[in-house]
Amino acid sequence: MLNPFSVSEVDTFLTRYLRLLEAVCFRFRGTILVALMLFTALMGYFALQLRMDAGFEKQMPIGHEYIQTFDKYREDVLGANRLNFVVKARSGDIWTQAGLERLYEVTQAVSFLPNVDRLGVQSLWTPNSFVNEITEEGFRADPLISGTIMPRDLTPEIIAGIQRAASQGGFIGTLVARDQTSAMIVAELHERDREGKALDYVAYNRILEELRAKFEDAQFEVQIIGFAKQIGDIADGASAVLEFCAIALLLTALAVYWYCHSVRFTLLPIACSLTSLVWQFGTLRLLGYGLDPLAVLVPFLVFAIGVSHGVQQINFIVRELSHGKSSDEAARASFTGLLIPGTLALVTAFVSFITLILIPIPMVRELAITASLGVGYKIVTNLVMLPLAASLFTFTKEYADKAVLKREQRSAWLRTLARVAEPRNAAIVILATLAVFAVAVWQSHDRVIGTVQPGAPELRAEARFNRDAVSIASSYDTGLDWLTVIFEAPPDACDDVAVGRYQDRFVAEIQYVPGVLSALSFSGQLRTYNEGYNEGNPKMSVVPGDPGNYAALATEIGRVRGFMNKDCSMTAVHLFLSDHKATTINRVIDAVKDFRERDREPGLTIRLASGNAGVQAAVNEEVHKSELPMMLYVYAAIMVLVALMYRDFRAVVACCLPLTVGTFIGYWFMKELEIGLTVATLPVMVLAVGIGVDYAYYIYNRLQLHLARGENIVKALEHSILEVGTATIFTAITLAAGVATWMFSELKFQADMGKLLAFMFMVNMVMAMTALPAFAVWLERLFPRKGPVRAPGILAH
Amino acid sequence: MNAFSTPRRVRFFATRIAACCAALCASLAPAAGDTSVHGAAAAAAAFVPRPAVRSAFAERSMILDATRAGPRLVAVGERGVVLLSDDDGAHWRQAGKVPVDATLTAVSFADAREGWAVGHLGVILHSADGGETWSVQRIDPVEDRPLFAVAFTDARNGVAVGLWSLMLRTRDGGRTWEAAELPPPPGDTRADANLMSVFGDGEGRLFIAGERGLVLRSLDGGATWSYHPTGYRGTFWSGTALADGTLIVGGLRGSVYRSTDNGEHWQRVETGSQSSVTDLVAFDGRVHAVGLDGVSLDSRDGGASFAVERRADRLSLTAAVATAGGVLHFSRAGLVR
Repeated sequence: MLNPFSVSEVDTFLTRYLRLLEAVCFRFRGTILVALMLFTALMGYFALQLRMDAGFEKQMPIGHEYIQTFDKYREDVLGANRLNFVVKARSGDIWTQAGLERLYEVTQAVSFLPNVDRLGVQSLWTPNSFVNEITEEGFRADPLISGTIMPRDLTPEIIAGIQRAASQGGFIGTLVARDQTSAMIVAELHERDREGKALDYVAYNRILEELRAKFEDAQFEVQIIGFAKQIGDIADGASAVLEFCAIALLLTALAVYWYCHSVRFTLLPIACSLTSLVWQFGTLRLLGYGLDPLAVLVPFLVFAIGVSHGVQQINFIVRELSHGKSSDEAARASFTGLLIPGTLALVTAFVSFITLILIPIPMVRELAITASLGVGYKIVTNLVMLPLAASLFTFTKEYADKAVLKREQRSAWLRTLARVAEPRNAAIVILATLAVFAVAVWQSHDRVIGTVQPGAPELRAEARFNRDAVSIASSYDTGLDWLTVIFEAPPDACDDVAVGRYQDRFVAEIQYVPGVLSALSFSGQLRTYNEGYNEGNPKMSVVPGDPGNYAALATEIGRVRGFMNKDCSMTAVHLFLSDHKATTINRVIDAVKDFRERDREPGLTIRLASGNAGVQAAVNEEVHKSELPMMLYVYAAIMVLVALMYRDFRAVVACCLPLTVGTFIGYWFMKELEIGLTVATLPVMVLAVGIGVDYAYYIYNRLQLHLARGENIVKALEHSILEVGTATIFTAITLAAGVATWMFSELKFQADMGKLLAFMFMVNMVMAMTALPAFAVWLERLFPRKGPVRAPGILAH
Repeated sequence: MNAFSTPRRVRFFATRIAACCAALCASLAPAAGDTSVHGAAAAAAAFVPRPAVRSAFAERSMILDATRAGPRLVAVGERGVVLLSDDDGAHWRQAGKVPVDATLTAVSFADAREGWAVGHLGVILHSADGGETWSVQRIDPVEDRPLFAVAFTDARNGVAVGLWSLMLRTRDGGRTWEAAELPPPPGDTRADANLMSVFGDGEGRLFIAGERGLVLRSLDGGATWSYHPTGYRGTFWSGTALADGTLIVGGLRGSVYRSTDNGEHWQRVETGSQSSVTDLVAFDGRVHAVGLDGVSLDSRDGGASFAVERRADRLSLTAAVATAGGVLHFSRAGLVR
């Protein structure tokens, strides 16, 4: 029976089983490799069926207060999944026969788009746009454009009438641009059609582009915005990720070749990494997932991790070859030598990804599952398959000698770096590291959660979508981003004047919060209708104080969707925001919370929040809330794993401290480059820790070995740095260069992720090569060991 | 298909019908001893008016009337907002204490200190310090019959008018307000027309402009009134008297009528505007009107003809006041610069 508390017993146990595993694997390597190939072929079949797949609802945090509100009243308020089409005259205003005719055509086309709520479509031409015409005889509600008028009937007089009606009906800024050069069509999308089939946003985007192509010409521009357009454009841009992956692949291959001067050793790690990618894609398909455009980089990350481990294997094998071993022996040595640190590193990455499940957003959870699967597969492809395959090749000693010589020539300068192990230098490095740490902590204070720039943050500012979005946001009051605040009352509240008065007070205050462009509310509608029923007199723009009158107007308001439910137990305030920056949304949310704290009305509840900004706010809150626990779990996992392996607190400190510094430098970098913490960047930060620790593991592993051989700490460190330094630095630079190419992506979030990742790869490498040895030296000096150092699982070579 | 897609005609103020029913219910409820009736009385009983909110954004509130209090400008509007300016409109501040957040529709100052503001909930507020602080002289949350206009000829005598020929008079600076019964208009059985504007001509005559093209005149400081039909069928929202005694009233759909014989006879003035006139001011021989859809009318010939201007943003103008630098406009969105 194994006693887990007996250090030597565990060591013996591990060593024995590693040997056993090695023997079994290498004896059946043919069978294993063939089985793996068959499995790859099978998964490849499924992987080929993988498609891009996006969803609006899977971005919503499950169970969040705001999302519950959203779900409860989704039928009653403006849906968050809207599309806005704008027909804009390239010169002059929209009040021409051609302009209104084009608007008519686009309105018709939009009404017949699939998944569009036909009755909800609104433009100057739809019957749900009506104007209260005040005459001496009384009051008349007319459609803005009479149902009998067709575009060909438009005369300058009729157009002037429509223009006046649009102004009178308050449609300037909503359906017509404030500068009158364009008019809008609003449509609501159902994510599932009548048969319950989910909307394919990628295909839908093509339909939208067809519509645009059909109606856009030298005279008129057609602008389209909305979630469907946004995610479609992202998906289009994301398919370009393949090119970047190809470039990165090529760069990596060239770099690996330069490093090892062997085509076989170049292809081996890349082929192994690709294999696990095929498995991952196949599994995705089998699980019924698609490839989310926002998560499209994750497979590449997993690939990058694979290459990094592959290079360590190559490095190990070449070193063993140069020690005079046969290819088979070298491969076996690499297998046993790297299985433990490799598994350790991959398990850490695995844990990092799994912690993402803590964020209750389906999309992120999907990402967590698929990414951790990918990392799990890496254990097989990189730590087992790669050495097994390598053992099939034969490499001459000359090749190995040449390779080692080359490396030693290249790594001559590493001797200088290795001097960091001298206590005096180490002290300087530690002080410098701590100073940088302090600055980074201070600088990364008040980091931005959510997106920082206006428009669709995933797309670049110059992307068509964002140009359209900016154009629309600057000409219309009802921008793209809105927050819906729900007022809950007891049932049958249609004559409860207190509701309208309470809401009127709320609107009076909240409409001036910076970032709020305009407010559309039930109480505002009461005032508008009251004014309308009283000949349009502004002096009657009040919430009626009389219950009967109030109820009569509520009935009228109920005819238009979006302001109340049937019995007025829910009434809504829609706040249109200037943008969806987290600071803007938070400011408005805080103002709402502040109001409902200060001004309470018995029986009435103010609930946050629907609208796309409400959803965004919920996502931001979840990301913000999950970040610290996630990081803590990742670090805890690393600490536990390191502690288990080395059973030495010095290892824990030496591995984790540089990593923590790296994380905070990353935060600082994010703040400087205005990269907000989002669903896209959070996994990057978490993963950066997971990958960063790899370097630490490989170095610390060698260090343990040398210490176990009785070398003193300074010498042991020097040797470790010389042995794995080149491979580590090389890997970091290769990976950084690979992801750095993303900077040229047309998707901004990819560019951001690329920058962030490239930076994190470098920072963690620098930390592992400088701070880690420095900490290790001083920990060794401050807490001298009593017993000999153990190097579990590492056989004496 | 939306219910509004076919034209509908509504003859009366909706307010009127509903409120009549509610008032009826309220009056019947106690008699029947039925406490479960959700009528106006029940709702109003629980309703306690709140003081107006002091806001940094008060200048952006809808302003419905503005006037002079000596050198000072006083403007009133939605949710009990009162704005004061001591530099002819360059800078404004919110009045310190307004005890009610009801929307104020009109304001009148007898001199630099004594002033009255009226509005919804039938509220009448009084200020004795040039508009800095206000106290409630009258409020009627039960009926919620809004007052639309107020005019004081001196610090003691004033008239306030509003919905359904509501007329209140005071002869003691508002310590007591008495409801005045009006005779029915010619050809009608009872007085129920809305009275939208009240103004004096500086010669002791008082005029009221209101619904159905009615103009009323009082030669005895508001004690008795006579009707002077203008021939117009719509509603007048505003009226003013020029220094030479010419009277101008304006209202629905750009209608402007003019009288040069103290209201005996009226002529329609073609303005060329279809936008309802919300306020009229006369000063320095000019007549200036503002209206919905950003329209303003200006006359240099005593109201015989007007030049029309329209704001590019079509922001509805709701009040105007004359200053040394010209006319100041107010709108749905407050001060207009």
